[in-house]
Amino acid sequence: MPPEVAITGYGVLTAFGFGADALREGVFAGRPGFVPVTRFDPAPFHAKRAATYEGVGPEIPGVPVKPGYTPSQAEVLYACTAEALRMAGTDAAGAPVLLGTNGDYAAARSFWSDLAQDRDPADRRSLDSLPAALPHRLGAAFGLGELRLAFVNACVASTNAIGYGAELIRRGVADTVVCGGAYLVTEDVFAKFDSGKALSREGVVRPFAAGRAGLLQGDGAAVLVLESADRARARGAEVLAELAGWGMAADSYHVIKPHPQGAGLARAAGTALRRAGLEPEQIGYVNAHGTGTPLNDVAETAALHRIFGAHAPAVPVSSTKSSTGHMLEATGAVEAVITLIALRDGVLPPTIGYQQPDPACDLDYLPNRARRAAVTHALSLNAAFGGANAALVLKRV
Amino acid sequence: MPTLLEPSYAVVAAACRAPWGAAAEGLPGAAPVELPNVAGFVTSRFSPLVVAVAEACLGEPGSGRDLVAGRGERTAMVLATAGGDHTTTDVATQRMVAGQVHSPLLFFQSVTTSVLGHLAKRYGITGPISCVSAGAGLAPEALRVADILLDDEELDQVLLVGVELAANERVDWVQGRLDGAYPLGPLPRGDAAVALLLRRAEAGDTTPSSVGDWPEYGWLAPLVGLCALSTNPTTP
Repeated sequence: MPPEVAITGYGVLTAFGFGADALREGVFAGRPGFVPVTRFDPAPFHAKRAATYEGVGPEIPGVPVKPGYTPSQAEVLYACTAEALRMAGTDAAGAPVLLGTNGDYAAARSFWSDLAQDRDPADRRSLDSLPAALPHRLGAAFGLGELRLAFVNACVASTNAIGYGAELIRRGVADTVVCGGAYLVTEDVFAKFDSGKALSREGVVRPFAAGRAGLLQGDGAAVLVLESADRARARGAEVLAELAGWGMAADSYHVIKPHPQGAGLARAAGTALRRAGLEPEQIGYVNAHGTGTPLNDVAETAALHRIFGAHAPAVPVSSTKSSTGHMLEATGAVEAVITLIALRDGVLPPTIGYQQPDPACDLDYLPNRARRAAVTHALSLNAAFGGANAALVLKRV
Repeated sequence: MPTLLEPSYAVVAAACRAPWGAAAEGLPGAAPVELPNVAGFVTSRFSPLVVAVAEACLGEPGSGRDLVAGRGERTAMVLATAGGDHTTTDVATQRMVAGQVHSPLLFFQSVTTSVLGHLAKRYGITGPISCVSAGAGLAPEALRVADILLDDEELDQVLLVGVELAANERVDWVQGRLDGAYPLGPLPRGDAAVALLLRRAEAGDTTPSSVGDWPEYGWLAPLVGLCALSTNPTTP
């Protein structure tokens, strides 16, 4: 039997601040994290709000909070990694570093702005504009292993990183893995989504509800320590949850649009359930991708019907992007942490902004208020352009 | 760290592309500079290069040589790149810096999964889509990702595409400031790509090993070496 994969530590940042309590005060309390964008001038854009970290809530250790200063991906990843290792009680020496990141966009912007103004782009942060720089930087800073990969597959990137980490442990390639992802709202990416009319112009996100008008972006970073459950228990570490299964699949449908019947997402979930050795009825909560776009939420609902069949209406589902915003490459890692907290606290986070039901979205979306529930297994789903889909199954211990 | 001499997979088909015109003479994959357009993808050569090398490897969809036919559900794709589609990223950013409006076309093509979605639709591929990047050692790490996918009982084959655009000003700047503790593998002399269709080796299959020395291909060279050895190489 391959070893069970344990989660023994995590560090997490959202617009609500650093750590689990920030998530409890924000996501689980049903608060939206969206504020008017001040990080750059949003005047040229249709959307004006994002869930950016503004220094409200628990501070990021070691990162200054001052007007006009936006932390870098490297800074928040460093803080998340330090916290994850502290929580896990390990130095994770030699552990692979697997991160969902497409590089620090702000660094690329800084480079071209400097050149346009005839300045030498002397900021070494520009090095972080290449995705692989970030796992290298973390690996070097913490004395981790030489296997350092960036996963650049967009909104499934950190889900992929976590799943791959689990496979490295199952195959005995590593006994500990440091994995996660980061995205901080930048003007360039905001502009891309705005030009594609993907952003809500209402300043709120209403996943699965009637009248939903798109997504909003959010700051996010999370780093998890995975290790063989046997090793974790042998060294006396607390196992926070087990990563019981993961899966990925493609839609084979469209470059941008999700498969209308959620075929790829359902297949990814099916693979994750198979790896976990579970029947769909054993899943007690789904953290949905739930972007709040008209197409995604209908397709994801269809996928949930495929996954759960007649049992689907009985499964609580929520989109925590209604609070955190869409954190792109970080979203899978942050939502894995939210799912872990839900399992441990026995509280399911709500879908907020939910006012009127959409007949095409006919499941239990945990509208607006968290719910107490003792759940043993939970599913976290993510999807990306190109019809890439990913799923994780977490197990409470 | 993994080696390239993994004994457990077979290279079923392979292709490479060095679309540098006369500058690539004598290299495997030497090709005209011009790449076929891919509908919906503009400005950058990244996605057209991925599509060209993948189609050369897999065969035309629906043709007698379509290597995905009947296996779409059991095929995965892995894309490996160090710099990604920096043309799209940097053109978009430079437009922003110049105060211009963003192009929605650059929005979706800036994501590497988009071009894989294009291939997935063309070939009916519904297995996993993974995109990875690393500094040094990207070729063996990408092979390891593919190797691990091949362990999945639901999969028969993995299309591994390594792709790199020639360094632009930003990538050059970054590369010039990296030190030994922060390595970036050598980049190819120009835009280049390799595609390998990998399946689990069967009894009697010989162990694939990279042959030849192709420094012009930068970090892609070990994959080009596998391509050159392939039993069914489709290098032009």
